[in-house]
Amino acid sequence: MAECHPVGFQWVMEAKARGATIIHVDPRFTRTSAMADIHVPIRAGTDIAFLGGIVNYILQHDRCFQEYVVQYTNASCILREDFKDTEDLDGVFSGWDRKKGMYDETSWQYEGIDGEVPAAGHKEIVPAGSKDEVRGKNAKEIPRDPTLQHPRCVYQILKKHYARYTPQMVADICGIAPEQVVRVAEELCRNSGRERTGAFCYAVGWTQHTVGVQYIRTASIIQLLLGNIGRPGGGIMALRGHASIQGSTDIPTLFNLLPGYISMPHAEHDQYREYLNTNTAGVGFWSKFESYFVSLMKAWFGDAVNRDNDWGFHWLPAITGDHSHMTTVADMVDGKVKGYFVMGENPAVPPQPMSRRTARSPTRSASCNGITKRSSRPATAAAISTSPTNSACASRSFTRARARAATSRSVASCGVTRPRASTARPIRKPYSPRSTGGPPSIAGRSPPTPS
Amino acid sequence: MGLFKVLGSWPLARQVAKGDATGLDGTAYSARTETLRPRTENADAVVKSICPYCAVGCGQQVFVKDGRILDIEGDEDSPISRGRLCPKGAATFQLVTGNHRVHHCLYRKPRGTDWEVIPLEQAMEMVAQRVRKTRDETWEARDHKGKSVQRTMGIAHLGGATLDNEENYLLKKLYTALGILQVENQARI
Repeated sequence: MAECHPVGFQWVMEAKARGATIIHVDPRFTRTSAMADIHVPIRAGTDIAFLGGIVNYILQHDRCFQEYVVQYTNASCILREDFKDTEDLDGVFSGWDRKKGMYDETSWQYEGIDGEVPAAGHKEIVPAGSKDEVRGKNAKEIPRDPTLQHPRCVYQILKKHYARYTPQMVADICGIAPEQVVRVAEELCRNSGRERTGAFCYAVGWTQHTVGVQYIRTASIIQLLLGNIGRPGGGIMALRGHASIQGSTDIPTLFNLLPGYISMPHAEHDQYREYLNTNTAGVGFWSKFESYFVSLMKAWFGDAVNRDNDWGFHWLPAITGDHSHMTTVADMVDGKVKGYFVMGENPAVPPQPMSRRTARSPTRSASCNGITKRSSRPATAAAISTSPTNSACASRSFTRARARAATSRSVASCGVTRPRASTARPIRKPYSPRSTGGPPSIAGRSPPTPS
Repeated sequence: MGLFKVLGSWPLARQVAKGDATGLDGTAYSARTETLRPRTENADAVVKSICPYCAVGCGQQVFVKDGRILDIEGDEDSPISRGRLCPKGAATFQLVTGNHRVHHCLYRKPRGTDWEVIPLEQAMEMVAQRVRKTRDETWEARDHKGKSVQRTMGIAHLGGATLDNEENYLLKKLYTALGILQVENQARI
């Protein structure tokens, strides 16, 4: 953070001046580590074990914020009787179908709920009513145990699941001393509760992993157990590297959401009433779903919408599944997408499976240009300009001809423009993380002596 | 007389005359240095803005004269940055005025190998015509199950993380009203 968000880091130094403890968990010793009180040099990619060790410490020593956990999390909810944890089934959860290579999530649900309660981020894509999904007003009362003692309550299952992450096991996996895990966990626990809060800050050090989601979710478990979510000075801060990544998700320019995280209508529910019923919750923020929807439609269409035309609901396009980036690019290869607007983005840099795939497509009559390595001169303004570069394209064909070598400029992570020799590469060369100038590997160095 | 004047303008002599032991009180200035002024001194206006780079969102002051940017500096009034900028933010000036910026609309004909410069009005007209034509050709009122979808799958969008909230809002509003569904963003990728 000191190197990549230095102006933000002044506040970390301010907190330190007021007595905060700064803990830096990073295989490298950077300028942030120099300013930190504790530096934990875990092996790259071992964060699941490290965070698991902290969860285990909290649960084994009963250091969670009891009232918060009971009132504001699902720790007291009781799961179905046929749920089995990885500890019972030697590494898999219940519902594993070996032949299909997939989980059947029925046994993971709460007791007494007839159907599945979908996870966040999933419900916008899959229409309610499919796969017996229940949500909104259809979700019934979930049985709870406020004492957190019921053997099938989420809290006890969590305790059993994380019991294996002992300090010694974490030390073996992460390449640190057991005392370091205990020290970090103790610092976190000591600084959480009713009077104090602690925050986690992360950036691409967590997200640029295939298991990045697991790291962040485990950090969420820690923060929920300690009662740090939704409180000043707490939470999990994602230090996003761009000015408007979050805005692009909130506003959003995504296929499955309308501004303010309202779901796009799904073709399965093409009646206004159905759409409302599946998206309105019984209590809480989303119980006022209709107000938010009407507010949006009035902002967009003004007086043209009213109660008689269902507030313009039928003017909205409906999704029928996954229309995300990869699906769209696959459709381009099949010639279904005739035009592409690319704004403020240069997907040809760095090399991505997407651009290689579109580059390989056989000659077709439709699909787009400009964003692939096929273009003679990729829109360099898109890479370094902050204002959106609108390169709308007409129908054109792909050929199998090799991309011509082109000089282009790319903005390196330190903000210095440097010319790149060629954006064109032989397509057969496999993608290598080192080619994009990723962080140096620590392989081959001896682990640092624990302090 | 000339020699006296030359000796008098010698920095050491000036230091002694002024009692300036450290040489910091302007006694070391040359005649040219005396005439120098900050670029921003005769700006017409100062526009408050936010740094376009990372998520910290430091405040910036953009000094403008005659419709051109003179300089971009940190904004003391910002509670987030308190006037500080990192090296990237401090160099925002070159992002706007650097010679790598493209200033014209470029068009490459189908199967063409060269870009040609076209005026903005012509480019906008071409884009609008293509959007209209493609939308009409690929319009889907109902899907294969007979459900109402009211969309076109023939046009898609990919946005970046430097599009600000206002731009994102207008994009989403335009595309949704046109029935363009495949709207994606770097945020997801």
